Amino acid sequence: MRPGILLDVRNLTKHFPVRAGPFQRPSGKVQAVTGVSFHLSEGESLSLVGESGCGKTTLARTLLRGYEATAGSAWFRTGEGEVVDLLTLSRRRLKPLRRQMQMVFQDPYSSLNPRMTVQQIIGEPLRIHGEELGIATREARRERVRELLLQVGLRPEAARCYPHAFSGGERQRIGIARTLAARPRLVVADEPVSALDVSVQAQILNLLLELQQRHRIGTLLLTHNLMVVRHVSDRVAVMYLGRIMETAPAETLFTSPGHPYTAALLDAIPRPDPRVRNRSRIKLSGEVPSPRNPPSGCPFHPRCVHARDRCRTELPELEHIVPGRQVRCHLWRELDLKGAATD
Amino acid sequence: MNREPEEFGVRLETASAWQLTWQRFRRHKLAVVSLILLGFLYLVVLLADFLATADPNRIDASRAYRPPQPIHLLDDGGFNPHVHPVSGEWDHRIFRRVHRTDPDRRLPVRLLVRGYEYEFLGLFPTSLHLMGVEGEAQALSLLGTDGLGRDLYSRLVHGTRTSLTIGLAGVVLSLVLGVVLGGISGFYGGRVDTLIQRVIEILLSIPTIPLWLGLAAAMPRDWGVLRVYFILTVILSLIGWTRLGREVRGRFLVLRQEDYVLAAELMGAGRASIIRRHLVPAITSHVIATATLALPAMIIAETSLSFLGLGLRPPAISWGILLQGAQQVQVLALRPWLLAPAVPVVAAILAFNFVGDGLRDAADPYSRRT
Ligand SMILES: Nc1ncnc2c1ncn2[C@@H]1O[C@H](COP(=O)(O)OP(=O)(O)O)[C@@H](O)[C@H]1O
Ligand SMILES: [Mg+2]
Repeated sequence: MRPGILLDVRNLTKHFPVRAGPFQRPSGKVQAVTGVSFHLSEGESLSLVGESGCGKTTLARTLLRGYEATAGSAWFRTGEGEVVDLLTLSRRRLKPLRRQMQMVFQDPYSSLNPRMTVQQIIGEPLRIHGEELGIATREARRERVRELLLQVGLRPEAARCYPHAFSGGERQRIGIARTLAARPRLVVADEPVSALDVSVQAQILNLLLELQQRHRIGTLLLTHNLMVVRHVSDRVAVMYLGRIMETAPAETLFTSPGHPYTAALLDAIPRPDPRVRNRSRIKLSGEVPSPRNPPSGCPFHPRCVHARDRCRTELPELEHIVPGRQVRCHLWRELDLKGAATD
Repeated sequence: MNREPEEFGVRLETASAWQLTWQRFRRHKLAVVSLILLGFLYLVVLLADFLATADPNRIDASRAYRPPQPIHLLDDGGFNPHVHPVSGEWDHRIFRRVHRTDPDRRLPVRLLVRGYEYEFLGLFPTSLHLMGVEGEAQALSLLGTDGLGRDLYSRLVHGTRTSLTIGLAGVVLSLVLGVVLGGISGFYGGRVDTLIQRVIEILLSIPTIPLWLGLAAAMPRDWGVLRVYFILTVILSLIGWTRLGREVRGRFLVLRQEDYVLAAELMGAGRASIIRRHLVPAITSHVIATATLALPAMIIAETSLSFLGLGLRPPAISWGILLQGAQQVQVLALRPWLLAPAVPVVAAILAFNFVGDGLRDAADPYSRRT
């Protein structure tokens, strides 16, 4: 693994067996994530964008070993400089590493135990990894929680309250404080703002961004909202039906998308300016196909306005078109896709 | 933010979960009073022999059906508690026993007097009693006597001991089985879960009353009534855990899906820690509710089974047996004191329910607010 790389995911695949009938026999599989590869540098922020159901949550949980992967590897450089495969590491060796990789959850209600005070919630990783973090006493924990609350913009008195006393945005701040408590090197944020009011989404994103930069945390941001990633991430990967369709530096992706799906997503972004409405819109019509039986060929072909015969039969490779830019489309050379209005 | 817990002030910052629970419980006045009452009842259980004034089994036909006897506190202006001796004889004209009080003789009532021999807490033999008439224990009948001349107060104290303890082992056993087996079933899932669920279904299909009668008949002849009853409650608790078991399993299955449990897992928390910190606290209020329903049910079961003659039988003493002794109509008109055992039955059951309410709310403030 090249120096400076924090996480190198290769060919990560997660298929859920489907069981049916009175004897619960396997009768198929949900191909939630198939052959996903990407890498993340230390302190870098990478966004993975895709519609609901494209496998973001599955990817996040498989990566952090909430699920066992079907195939693939995820090389992670630990704080001690060792490089390990997260997906095959034994549970025993994985456990101490858990501290270094943390998750921010989508639902700020379900992700905080309603029966614990904020002190207990944020203190939990401190208790589990107290030794490594150099926090041994109750006093030290209390002090650290105080510090963390201030960092995420909450009053230290919040430590005494139960989660129900807080709004969604405040809860998400508590969740972020819990994540930070472990001093992680990698944070996977699964739709961290999609459950929040639009008015607080930007605040939470800015907080994540600021902390990521201040503590140099490699951040994988999963979201269905392209607007969210534009100002947050260095690079963006677009996912569709469990596969990566395109990766590009954030700005490039917005100004000149390489894949028809990306173009369609960009076009679907609501615009405040009524004049640009009249542009010919690429329709993103129809439903996302079921990952239980994905379409043959290119997974996007049933919804693609440019689809040809070849797209229906042959799965395109994820091709490097320029350094740092990959596209999974047979037609990328021919198409001239429109980006988002540069505003 | 910070809308709620300020009311506890700064103390809350250092309070442990138990202290918080206790603080909330204390605000529930009725529950506190009930808890004190239950504490008192269980004190009676521990000290039954010490509190009794007379041997509860001593029969004396000449003292049958004595009414409750008042203690006179003052004597010639000084404090000198005493009772007047009562003699009963059969009046052939009205076909009733009449009791005559002799106002001239005074029997002093003392604290800490010698009476019948017993084992204190099963540790050492003694004959010390809280109070009584020295040398003539039968002379005092605080709550009157029954048809065989046995002192009702002393019998009630002993009945309290039996009624409040004999079902406890069964209740505790079924709670433990319910939480442990239900918890394993819900936490691990898979084959273990299937196995436990099938076992529960089989157990649920067993009818309990015929089983009870059958088992009662099958017990060795030389076992005492108390022992038989105790064994029966324990055997039935092996069936009684199934409901709680299913409920705990259901709760665990739901809780396993909560993001905060996944969060703890991804954080590196061990299984034991997840169960202890995230799963168990979420079911404590339910377990408390179940326990506080099961305890009065245990008392009612003993009382009503014994009343019907299916549970305990004399010479055992229990609330149910004492009430069985008050079954005839004459009791209401002529010997109402024999109904006294109904008072602790009702009081204990209400107290368990109030304490249960208070504990449930205190243990899980969250369950009230959503
Ligand atoms: N535990 C599971 N068992 C079976 N199928 C699942 C499971 N979790 C997710 N899926 C399926 O995998 C696909 C991807 O889901 P998910 O990763 O939640 O997508 P996203 O987070 O992008 O909305 C969905 O079709 C979903 O139904
Ligand atoms: Mg999701």
